[in-house]
Amino acid sequence: METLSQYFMLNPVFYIFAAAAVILAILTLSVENPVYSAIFLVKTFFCLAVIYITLETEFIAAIQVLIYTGAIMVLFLFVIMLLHMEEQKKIQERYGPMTYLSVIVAFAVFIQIGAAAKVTFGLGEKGSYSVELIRDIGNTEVLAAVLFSKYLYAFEIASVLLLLGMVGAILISKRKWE
Amino acid sequence: MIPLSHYLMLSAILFTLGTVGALTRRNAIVVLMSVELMLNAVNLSMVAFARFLNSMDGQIAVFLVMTVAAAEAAVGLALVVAIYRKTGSIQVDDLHDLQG
Repeated sequence: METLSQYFMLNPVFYIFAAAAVILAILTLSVENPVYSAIFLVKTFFCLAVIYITLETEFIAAIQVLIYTGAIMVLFLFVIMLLHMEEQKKIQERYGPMTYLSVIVAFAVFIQIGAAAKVTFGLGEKGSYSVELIRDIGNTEVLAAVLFSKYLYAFEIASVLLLLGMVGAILISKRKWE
Repeated sequence: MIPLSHYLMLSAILFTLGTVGALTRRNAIVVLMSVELMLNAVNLSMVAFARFLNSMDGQIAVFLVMTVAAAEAAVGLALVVAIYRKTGSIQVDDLHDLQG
């Protein structure tokens, strides 16, 4: 495709890391060992952080690395370590007719989303935070200004949700199941 | 400038891969990882829309989705640990206690 190669010459970073993200996501799903899955998923999230930087959203890229790869995936690796995965080798990945059905369903989802992305839709009216303005002030500062004024209640509810998640995780994993 | 549709296609591909993983894998931890991948795909499309619409709302939504993802991972992994201690397995197929 000619236009794709033109765009590639314009900004190769996005396309290189997009291809890397897709390949690493496929590897995440296809390797047997869950530890390798977790490591490949960490690399996928790093590629997505680079793609956020091509969108000039530095704060989102930073919390992508800090929260997703630094907190969530480390939690996954801790649980894998706790569960003696080498004894879990017995987990057989069975590939029956349901597997093919699942792949077909997922492909139908892809066709739907891809068609929605491909159709040239009117984006509607633009907001007031232009690219130049965000570049001028800085992504983090603009995001903080919006978060702590317009979305203050959502922020407070999110903090309560985190507290509830913490209490729930402790309660569920410490309870004695008879 | 890369067009919006390329970001959306990448997001669609990653979401589809996450769906395949969540539906086909038998290991409960890998299923949870696939859900994280789907959440990330949605985050990418929201950031792309926010950038192309000159809006900050999408980035705020991504911030909140990350909060929910952290809570979801904590509770989901606690459930996996509890199930493992009760049944000695984390294979999704073994969880059929509620089947009639």
